[in-house]
This record gives sequence, C-alpha cells and structure tokens, in this order.
Amino acid sequence: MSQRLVLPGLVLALAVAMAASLLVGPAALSASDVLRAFGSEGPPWIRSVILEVRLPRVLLAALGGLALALAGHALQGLFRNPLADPSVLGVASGATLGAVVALYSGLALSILLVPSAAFIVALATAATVYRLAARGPVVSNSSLVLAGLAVSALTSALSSLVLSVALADWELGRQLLSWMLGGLENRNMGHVWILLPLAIVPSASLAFYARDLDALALGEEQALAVGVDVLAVRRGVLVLSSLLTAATVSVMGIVPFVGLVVPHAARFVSGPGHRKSFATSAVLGALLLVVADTVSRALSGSIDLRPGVLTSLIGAPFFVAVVHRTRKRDEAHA
Amino acid sequence: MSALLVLEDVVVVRGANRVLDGVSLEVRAGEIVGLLGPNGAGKSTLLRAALAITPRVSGRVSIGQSDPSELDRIVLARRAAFLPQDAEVSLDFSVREVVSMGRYAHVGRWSALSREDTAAIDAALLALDLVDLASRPIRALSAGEQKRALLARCFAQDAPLLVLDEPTSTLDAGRARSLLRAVRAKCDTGGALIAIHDLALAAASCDRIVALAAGKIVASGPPAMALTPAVLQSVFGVRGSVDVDEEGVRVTLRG
Repeated sequence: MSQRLVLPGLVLALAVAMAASLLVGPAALSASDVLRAFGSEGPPWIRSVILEVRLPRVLLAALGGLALALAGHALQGLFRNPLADPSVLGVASGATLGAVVALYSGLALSILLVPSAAFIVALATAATVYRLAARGPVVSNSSLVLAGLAVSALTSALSSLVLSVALADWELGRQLLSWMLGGLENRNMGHVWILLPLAIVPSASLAFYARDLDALALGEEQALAVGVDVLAVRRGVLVLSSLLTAATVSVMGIVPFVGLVVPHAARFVSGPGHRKSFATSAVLGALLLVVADTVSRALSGSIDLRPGVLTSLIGAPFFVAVVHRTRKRDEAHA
Repeated sequence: MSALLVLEDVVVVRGANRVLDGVSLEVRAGEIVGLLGPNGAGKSTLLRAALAITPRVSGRVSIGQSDPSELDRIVLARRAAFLPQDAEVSLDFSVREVVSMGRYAHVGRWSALSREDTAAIDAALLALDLVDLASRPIRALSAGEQKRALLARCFAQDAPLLVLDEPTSTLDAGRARSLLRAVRAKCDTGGALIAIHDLALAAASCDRIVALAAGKIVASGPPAMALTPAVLQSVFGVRGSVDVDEEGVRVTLRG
C-alpha cells in the first residue's frame, strides 16, 4: 500500500469497524434497524439498545484507544524508550485506586462518581510522581520512571488491600474485581461526555510537540542545541499524556498493551516522524479497541472476554512480530 | 574581529569539585580553537557551560553579545550549533531527516521547509560527503558516518559558531582530516570551538590551542607556541615538540 493511502485506509477501516460494531450484541438487530434508530424511528427498545447501550460503547472504545495510543506514543518519544507506556507514570494504578475506593465507599450508586474519583486520584498520583522526581526545576527521565514505579507499587498495594477487605462481601468484591479487569459494560453517554473532551483536547495538543519529540530522538543535548526547550516539552508531554491516561482508565479501567503496541505499529507504517505517526497511532489505537470490544461483545453469550484481555491477546504476538521485523531491518542495514 | 564566544572566569561546580575553575577564552570569527586536555580535564563541561547546558556558579559567558542562559533556545540555536560527544539516535530517521532538524531554528513549528532551508540541507550533505547516504536510516550507518551526519545537522543550522565535542573520535585519520577541512571551509565566516584528543590533528588544523588541565587553562595560543615541550610533558605526559616549518605544523612525539 502506498504511503499516502495508509491513513485514509485506516480511517475507512475504523469507520467500518465502528458501524459494524453497532450491529453486534445479544439482540439481533439489522443495519436498517440501526439506521432507523439514528433517524429517531423504529421501536423505542431498539432505539434504546442502539443509542444508549451500543453507541456509547463504540464511541468510548474509539476515544479510549486513541487516547491510550497517543499517550504511549508521546511517552516513548519523550523517554526515548520503546518500552514506555501510559502506565510508567503511575497514573493508571492511581486511577484504579480511586475507582476501587469509590466503589468500596458505595459511590457506585451514581454511575459517574466512580470515574470522577478515579480521575482525581490519578491526577493526584501524577502530581506526586512529578514532585518526587523533581529537583528544583529539573526533572530527569530516570527519576521520573523510578518515582512512577515506586508510587505505582504503593497505589497497587492499596488497591489490593481494599479489594481483599471488600471480598468479605461477595457482591462488592465482584464489582471491584470487575472494574479492575477493565471493560466497557454498563457505560452510557455520560461517560462519553466525560471522555470526549479529555481525550480529544490533549490529543490534539500533543501535535504541538511533534517536531520537538523528533529532535529528542537525537538526545536531550542535541534537542536543546537545535532550539528545543526540553524542559517545557517534557512538562507539556507529561501533563498531556497523564490527562489522556487518567481520563481513559477512569472511564474503562486498565486496557493493557494498546499504548505500548500501537505506537510501534504506527511508526512501522508511517515512519518515525511524530507528526505523521501520531495521526496513524490515533486511528490505529481507536481501531484496535473498537475491534477488541466488538469481538468481546460478540462472544459475550458464551464467554466473558474482556477487551483488555483481547488487546493483550492480539497485542503480544503483534509486538513480538514488530520487534522481530525491526531487528531484521536493522541487521540488514548493518 | 568581533568575538563569537567569550568566557570570563567561568566556574562550574559538581558536588565539592570545581570542574571548571575560572576559565576565560574567546573564539573570534574566522578561527578554529582547539580545546585540548587529558580525560576529565573539563573539556566537555566547558563546552556545555558555554552553551548554558550546564549551569555555571560564577563568571560571564556571552555568545553574540548576550548571555546564553538568558536567551531563548531558538535564538541561541541560530547563533551556535553544538555536537555532543555521545550521540545515540533512538528512532529510525533518515540522514536527511536528521540534518533537516538543524533548520528548526529557522522554520516555524507548522511551516514547511523553504527553498533556503532545502539549500542549506543540501549544502550540509554535500560538505560532509553524505549525498549518497541521505536516504539511509541514520542508525544503519557506522559510528563514523553517524558522527558526520550529526555534524551535517550542525552545518545546516547555519550558526556562526560551531561547538563540537570530539567530532573526530570515531573516525580514521583520513576521515578526521577531511572532516576538519569541512569545518575549516564552514568557518570561512564563522568560528569553531572543538574539543579534540589527537594532538597532531589539533596542531595541524586549529588556529589556536587552549590546553585545559584539572579545570584550569594551562596554555593557550597558536599550536607551536601553546604546545611547548613543558606543556606536552606536564599536561599530556608525553615527551615531544611542536614546530612550524614550510610544510606546516609538525608534531614530534618521543617515547
């Protein structure tokens, strides 16, 4: 496929996947049912299934996939490390802790309180990690990663503690576990309205740093030397990717591998330049999670296969393949 | 001739160590200044302090009449280009893409390269003999070729001052000489401050030598004057001499 057709092709694939996803679910509905529902026609129960159950899931999957892929992509560029992903800053485990505590405290009564609590704790975690890593105005990458690891370990331990206490009550324990596994069940348009701005605004803002991240591939000193304000870029990229991760995990729990694998695939098809590969990552991330969620829904009658499990099942072998091909290409050049 | 770079009494401290202990030097337009000294003498620190990458505790630095630590990075990048010693590239950019990063200081964030930018990139590729390698991924090249590509990035930046940290360390003798000839051609109007290990190469290619030992300048001047047998012995621990004859500067090292 020619370079110029990659992005339009992926956008088309995403549109098809999202449309197809609306047709999948326990109730067998046809394409004309879907179209009528969008035209405010047809039986109310069909409208409700399409617009209030399936549509939010499809939109959330697309937004979440996009946000996670871009957060991972930007962090891999910033840390100059292909293994960085949205969880390195402790934001994801912070969000989990917030959600688990909220569920345990009975806040689940209002469906939007759990993501709100998760989001607040995630941001507090990010601020703590940054504080711990900062020495004066200077924050080094290695101290950020170490602080992220330490804080993640702490918040994960606290989440496990809350979970083990909650398991005394079977129903509550089940709720907590289910949230920790990640997923898109029982989400409504309220979740979409939370995630929409928090996914789109930081994602678009990341484009501002695209060429700075390109220069960072030469190392921080050379980036400085060509005129990149490395400190400002680091601050900006950390804030934006923390927002993306916090918002996504708050709404759907941890969906692993999207933020790690998608950037590799995007760079593989669109080259290393961040302006192009960001766009590819965004679409590819959305596509991956929409497909994963659709498959998970299609199988929901027989087995509860979480989208996160699917992204890992698809992601892990794909990741190995990408790494393998990249290494072969490097060796061919050497 | 106006000075492109001035350091006055610069002190840099790391822990309890004075890594640079009151260093003063100047680089004027049209000259190549070679910074010599044993490992750990403070050469890299001096270059970084000159560009405000490493903070100084006292002293004055000026690049084009302003303190680099108060300049916007973009403005500084138009005045000085820097090649650090260890430069590992983390993504598969092509040589041409890397060289074009030297134009950041001249091109708006959202703008495409102008004809002038393309011309500067082409000239840099040509000057460093990289035209045939331009579309190769930089990481697929040898260490020496990568160094040349990164130096081409500095050239494309079109800054009057070049600050280069050991640009020849991974090159064979022939390549090292042709690289310094390219720097000489580039310094027609600008100047360069180059940290360098090879005494003979430095003596042959630099207008002036600044010898650094334990954070202090111990000798400076034209190669034959700065590198006296006493300096060679005390700073580098070698016996030898540097002479000028009709064929140029000759370095003789004994035992």
